[in-house]
Amino acid sequence: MTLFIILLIAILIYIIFIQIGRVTDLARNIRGEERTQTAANNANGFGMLIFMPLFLGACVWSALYYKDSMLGYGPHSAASVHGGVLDSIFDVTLFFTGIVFIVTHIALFWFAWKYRGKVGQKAKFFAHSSQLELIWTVIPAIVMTFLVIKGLDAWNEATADVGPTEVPGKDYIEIEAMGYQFAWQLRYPGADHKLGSRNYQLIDLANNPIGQDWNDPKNYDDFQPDKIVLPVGKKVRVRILARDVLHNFYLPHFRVKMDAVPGMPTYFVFTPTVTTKEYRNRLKNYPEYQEPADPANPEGPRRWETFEYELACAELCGKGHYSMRRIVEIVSEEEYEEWLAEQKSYFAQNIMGTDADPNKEANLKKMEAEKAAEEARKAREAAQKAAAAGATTSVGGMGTTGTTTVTTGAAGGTVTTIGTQVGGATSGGGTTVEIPEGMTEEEAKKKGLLKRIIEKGKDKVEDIKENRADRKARKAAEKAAKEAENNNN
Amino acid sequence: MANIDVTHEEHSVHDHGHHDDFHDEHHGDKYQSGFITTYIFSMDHKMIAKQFLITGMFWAIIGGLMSLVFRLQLGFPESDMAWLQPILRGWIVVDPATGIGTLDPEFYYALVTMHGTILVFFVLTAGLSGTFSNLLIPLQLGARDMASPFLNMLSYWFFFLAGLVMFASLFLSTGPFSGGWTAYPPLSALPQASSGSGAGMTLWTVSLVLFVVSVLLGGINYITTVLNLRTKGMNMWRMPLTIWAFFVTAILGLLSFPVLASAFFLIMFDRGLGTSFYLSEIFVGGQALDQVGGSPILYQHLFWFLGHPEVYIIILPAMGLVSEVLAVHCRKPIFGYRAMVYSILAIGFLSFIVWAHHMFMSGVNPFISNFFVIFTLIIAVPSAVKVFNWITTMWGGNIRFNAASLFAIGFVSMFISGGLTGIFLGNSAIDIQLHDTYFVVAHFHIVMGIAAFFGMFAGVYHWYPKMFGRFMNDTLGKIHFWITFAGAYLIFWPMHYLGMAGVPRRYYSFTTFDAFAHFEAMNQFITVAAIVVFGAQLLLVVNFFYSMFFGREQKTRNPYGATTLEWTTPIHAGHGNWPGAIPHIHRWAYDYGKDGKEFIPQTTPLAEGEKDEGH
Amino acid sequence: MANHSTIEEDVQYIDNTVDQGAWSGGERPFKASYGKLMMWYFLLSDAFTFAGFLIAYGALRFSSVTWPVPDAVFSTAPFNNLGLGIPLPLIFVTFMTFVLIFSSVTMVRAVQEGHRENKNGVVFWMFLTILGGAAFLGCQAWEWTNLIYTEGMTITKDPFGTHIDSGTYMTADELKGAGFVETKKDGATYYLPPNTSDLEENRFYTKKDHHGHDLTGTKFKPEDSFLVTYDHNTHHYETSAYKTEDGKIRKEQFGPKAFGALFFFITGFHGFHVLSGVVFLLIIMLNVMSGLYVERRNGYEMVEKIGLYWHFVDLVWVFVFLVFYLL
Repeated sequence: MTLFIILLIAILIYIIFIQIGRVTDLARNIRGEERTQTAANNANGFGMLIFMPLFLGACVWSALYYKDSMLGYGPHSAASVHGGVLDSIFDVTLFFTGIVFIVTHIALFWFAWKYRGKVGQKAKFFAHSSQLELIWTVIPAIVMTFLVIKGLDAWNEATADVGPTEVPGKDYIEIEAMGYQFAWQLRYPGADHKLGSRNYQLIDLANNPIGQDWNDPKNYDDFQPDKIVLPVGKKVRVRILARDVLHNFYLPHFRVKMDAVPGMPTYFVFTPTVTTKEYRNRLKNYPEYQEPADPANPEGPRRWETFEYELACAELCGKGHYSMRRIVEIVSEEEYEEWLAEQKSYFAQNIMGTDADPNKEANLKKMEAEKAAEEARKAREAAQKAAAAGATTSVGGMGTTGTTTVTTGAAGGTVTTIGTQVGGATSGGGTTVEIPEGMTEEEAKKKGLLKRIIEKGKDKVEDIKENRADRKARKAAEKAAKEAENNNN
Repeated sequence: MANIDVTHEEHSVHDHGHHDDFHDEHHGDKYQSGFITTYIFSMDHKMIAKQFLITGMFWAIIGGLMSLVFRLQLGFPESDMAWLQPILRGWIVVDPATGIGTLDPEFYYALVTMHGTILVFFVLTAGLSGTFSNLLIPLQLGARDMASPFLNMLSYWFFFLAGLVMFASLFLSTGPFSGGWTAYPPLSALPQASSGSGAGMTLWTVSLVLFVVSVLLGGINYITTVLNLRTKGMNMWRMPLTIWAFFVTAILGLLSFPVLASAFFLIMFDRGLGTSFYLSEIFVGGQALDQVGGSPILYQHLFWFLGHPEVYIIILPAMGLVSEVLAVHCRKPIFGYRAMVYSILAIGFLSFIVWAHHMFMSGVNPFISNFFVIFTLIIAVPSAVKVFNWITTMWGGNIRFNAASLFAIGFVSMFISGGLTGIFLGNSAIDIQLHDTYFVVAHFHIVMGIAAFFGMFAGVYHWYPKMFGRFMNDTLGKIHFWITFAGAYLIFWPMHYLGMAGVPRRYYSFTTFDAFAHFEAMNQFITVAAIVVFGAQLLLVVNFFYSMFFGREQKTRNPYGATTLEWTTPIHAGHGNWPGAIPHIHRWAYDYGKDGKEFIPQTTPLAEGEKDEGH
Repeated sequence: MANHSTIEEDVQYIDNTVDQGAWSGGERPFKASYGKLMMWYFLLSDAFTFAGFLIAYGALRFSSVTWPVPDAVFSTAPFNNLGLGIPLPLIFVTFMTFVLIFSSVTMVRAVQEGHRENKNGVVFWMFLTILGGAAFLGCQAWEWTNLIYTEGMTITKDPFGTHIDSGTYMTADELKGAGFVETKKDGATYYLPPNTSDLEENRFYTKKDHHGHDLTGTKFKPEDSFLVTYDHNTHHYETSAYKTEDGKIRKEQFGPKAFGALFFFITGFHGFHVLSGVVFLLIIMLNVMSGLYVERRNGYEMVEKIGLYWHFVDLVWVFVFLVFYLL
């Protein structure tokens, strides 16, 4: 119904305009060509004249009004090293183009008014001036040259790859983002700081979304988080891939953008300079960001509080193109290490011991041994706790805490890892350490791993010894408890 | 339309000066002897021009309506679109519980794709160059018709056929093509990746290959006519700027469209025959594809080798039209005629070496981007020269405001605004952030969607009497101008801000991202402005068709007091344009206000001691 | 009928004050009729289409790690290599090129005869041109048939590979000794690696050439080219097993896919132009025979125009030949 009314109004407006047109045509006949034209010249010339301040004023006013939402202004100065440079080039360009914009428009509209047609006025026959042409060829050329030089300098720096002598882990962190319809698959290199090799033929949506080649040991510690977490101030190289069609890795706040091309890995190197918390603090002071984050919940958190850096896709990739979001968190160095420590490798969680594992038997045995050790350790801990708390209660307690099943990936315990413990810090017992696959003892020794392995191994042996003793004790205690129960019944 | 007989006798007496092959092979009475040959399969360039124009207008309305639908989605995403179901059928998904209809994202992308394709190719290339090159080249050069009227006719009908195929694709059940007008593979090559990349893409490609044929046929004609069929005295430096613009445009088209055709042939092979020109290492639809070794970037190079000259093919004719309209209505010569010609040539040449500025972030080696930045910013210089020259043309003039001159002045404003933002985008460092955001959308809409259209409107209003012997209603034209001028800025100016806020283009909705989600009011504003401006364009359409039958009649041959040759034909020029001999010319096209005279037609010989400004 | 209405003032019908000169209007600056000019512009646009394809070739070839060696790929000729039984690198395609160039020469003669208004001469030389064009097409057809049916090349499969390391082709015994399981199916014998099931990709064959001669035990160096033989009975590509110098067992892989696609596509596109050229030549020759051009004012200009097209086709072939066969 509303539609019908709107249409009706539109048609009425049309009819009005058409009638105005016809009437003015008639008027032209009556008044004569010359008078009509002069009136039109005055009216439209005047229109041009007032359009000038209205237009230029609106441009300036709106720019100032929206300034704080635009990246590079207000709270949004770049959160990366190269981003600041890019923003400054934008500003320089805006300066020059802004001058041209205002001056040419003033000239255009002013001339339209000043030289509007009048009876008896004659146009000047001014057909060329080499001097003027020279001026307004050379000056733009100079400005352009300046912008080019500045721009290319920044471009070559911002798009440079890491140098041949730079080492991942030490000089930069390398991570991988693979775009697919319609999300980003993220991958971190784990403790060895190197991403393992992959092959698209190996992709299996169920258990190998990236197509990692499990014959490459560099893959064993790679993990796949659902958000990007990075330490502030450290150089990051993002390896950008695509699984099916073109995507684009876009981090607006960091001024990072690069197409993801299937069949051709691309990269972008940047250094984040502002943590998420710091950025939120910036936003706090701006009215736009003091609005409630969810309009439906006016008492809820404010926009600045819920702010997150985001990863978006910036190349049309199909119908879900607008929904490929991942959160990016920039944290302090310590928080980053903590977060890393919590991550579990994809291989360990999903592949080890399964048919996809190229060392299935060996790993299965290892896993069982570790499971047993874990169980025993838990039992020993429980026994110690029980011993501290008192015999009777501890029996029952032990019974319940006697975890006979240890699931891999159990919360609280670190899962058996191949390769050195992520994070490097010696966390509590229960972690087993192996010589990494493919590495001989010699190499492990050289890398300083062996010392730790041996030491850890010593602990392990001690643990096992103790565990056996404790287990005997526990079993005896359990037996005693059961007999006691039976006696009671 | 008067049917003028031209006898052999008159030819031998009056038609001398150049070999008029035309009349030996085409007799006046073979033409326009029936309805079909006059209005449908016409070989007369003036009729073909009108055919291009009307077909272009039809497509502009379709493309514009499409933009309104997707702007509704962007401005009012929560609104109920179920009322569109009768037209869009299954593409509006109605929630059975609430009854609210939403636009299918796949179709949203189809609309965006079709909008771009239709407006860039069918309206702004065929509808702009096709119309005005056909109308003005023979008339302004003093030729009877194009060099090959037959091929000219074919050029229109190939365009028509291309349109038919594209129109058919809108009704496919898998949907029209939806991978963006740029059609990047692998998305456009894999039906598994997007349903529009199935039959829709096939028809899209076929349509555009037919379109390429149309452009080539037209271009060959225009170039040959400009070189061979100028009347006596019309040396290259006396041609009006419109002709220079159409000439260079035709050369650009001749050299760049074939590369587009080759890009499309290769993609058709990749799609249908499993080749690996553009595809490599793809896992889609649950399986790893065989294709290895291809490169999506190869497509981008081939596409943009056309794509960039294409935008100059769009803007150069508009610039030519504006130069002409401004000179006539300011009663002043166009300032710096030679500089304008050199600028057109420079822009034409440079347009071939800047294509990869569309590919800065595509993964090409950043080193080569350096060259493209340099050439792109160089191309800003001749464009700036043209702008300054237009403004100086207005200085000291005696400006006659009518719909045509208003649009010409509006063109200058739009070209300044849109051209300046091009400087940001052409600098690759800035492009890192702005690529694929609304900043780009704002830029190209202002230069193509508004400026080029304004040039076209100026041309339509100005040369309407030449086409139909009547005037369009000028008041309606002025209302059309003012609403469109203000409204277009209201639509596209805010998009700069969206782009600077980082909002990406080709997004169906912004709610997923916190960073992009808080511009509802701005998007609503843009949508409302778009609806109003589209409504205002219908004023033009109504005016156009109404005036064809009821417009104020043209009573004098040269109502504007213009110097160029098209105003020396009879009011209803028949086939062959001049009933007798073709006039010869003696001077350049811009003697307005010279020696105290209001204007001196090109046909007037030079007086004793008078210098020709064109030399 | 003096119907030229009075144009307000200034139309001059006869005047001597107009500038003269090739570019002053009223002349044909390139001294060519519009028909010929149009043919030139069309050829220019067609050149750009071919250029687009050749650029695609360049881009894909140079981004490819290996590329088939033309001498090895194009080394066959009809009649079983002319009865000689040895590979004849590039001989056949050289012959084809010669035929096409010869047909351009005959075309020039035809145009010359046209200038002299010698109808019979034009017909004779055009006939020879058509023969040349048809012969080229026939040769191209043979080449394609040979590549597709004998050597198994398609637009998606390129059986012409290049070794990237040195090694020796393994014999059946060696394969069995390494634990491979000999399997016979559909008349073909192949070897499966230990612990795999019968998957297409895992088959290893022993090496033979496409005449069936056993080549096991032969050594090869890096960059030596090879042919993945296609067995027409089993419809399988036989990817042969070899041992590298450091003892790894590998099998031959297909060459880069782009090669087949580009070859058939570009030579096909060119062949299409030759075919249409032959058809037009035929039509125009018939027109000449019927005397149509004797009466026309521009005489045998149509022969010139089709001659331009034919030379263009020849020139493109030179580039294609250069790019595909020589570089």
